Amino acid sequence: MRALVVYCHPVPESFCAAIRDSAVDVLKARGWQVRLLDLYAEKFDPVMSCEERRSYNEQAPRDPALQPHFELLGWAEAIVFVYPTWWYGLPAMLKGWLDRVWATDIAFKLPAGKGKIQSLMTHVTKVGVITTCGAPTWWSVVVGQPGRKTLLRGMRALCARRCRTFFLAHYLMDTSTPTSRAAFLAKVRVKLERF
Amino acid sequence: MLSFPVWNYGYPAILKGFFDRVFLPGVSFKLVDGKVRPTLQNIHKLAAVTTYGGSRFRAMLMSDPPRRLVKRLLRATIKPGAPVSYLAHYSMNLSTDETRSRFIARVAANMDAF
Repeated sequence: MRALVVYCHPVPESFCAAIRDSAVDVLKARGWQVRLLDLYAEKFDPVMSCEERRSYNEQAPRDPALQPHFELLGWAEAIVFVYPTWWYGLPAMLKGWLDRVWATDIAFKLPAGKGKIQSLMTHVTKVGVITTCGAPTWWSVVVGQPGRKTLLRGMRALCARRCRTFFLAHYLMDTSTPTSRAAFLAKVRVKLERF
Repeated sequence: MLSFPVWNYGYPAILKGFFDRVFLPGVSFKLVDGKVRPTLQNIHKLAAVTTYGGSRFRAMLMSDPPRRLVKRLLRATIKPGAPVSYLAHYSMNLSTDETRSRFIARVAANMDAF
């Protein structure tokens, strides 16, 4: 299995970095090929330009900086997202990666008129989401868990029909303890061993 | 008043980054005994005007995250009881001059009464 780990946190010593390391460890130990994408480390530009938006419906974006990302999307059979939840959703950096990389003629084809979008991502059979969140679970659910929905409904809709998914969140991160964090890392490992 | 296109069932990254970087402790909320208290009571009205490529039905299947963010999260951040309106042109990819001008008229009427 070829797995792409999309990691998005600006602080190298963050708890998300520990999650990323655990995730990569477990997947490698399973004999999977793992490629890590660290969006902040590579200074990905999440902002779509005017020109890119103008041609969005017609063709794949031409920005050379995006080409390695297109290649990664084509390569991956499994994708694991690791990020902090900010304002209930994805960090802008990760949202911009989805907006710019999961593009026309890369992730999907647009129909000429009416009709369905045709997916180009059906080779992805597993999508996992691991995140940290300051808010409590109940309020996250009331707000509708936008990050979870964007990835596991929106983007997942482009993946294989029987794509497997999971969502793991450490809620109440601001009052987390070494025990709660260690327990969460253990949960991440168990989840990924069976993923 | 927020005006933005919905991309991938969410805000464009640049707007998400505006919330991430500007809605800070001491700006949009404060922490009292470890609990979040919203502080934007100076905002008495909120409206969002937006466009979606896909249909309303499809957005509902995805549980329409931006609609909920505006109508629940932002509503809870501003003055309690303040009116919140959410105006969306869905199915933008199939829009016509007629649907677009109807939508503009709806936005204008809404702003008149705002």
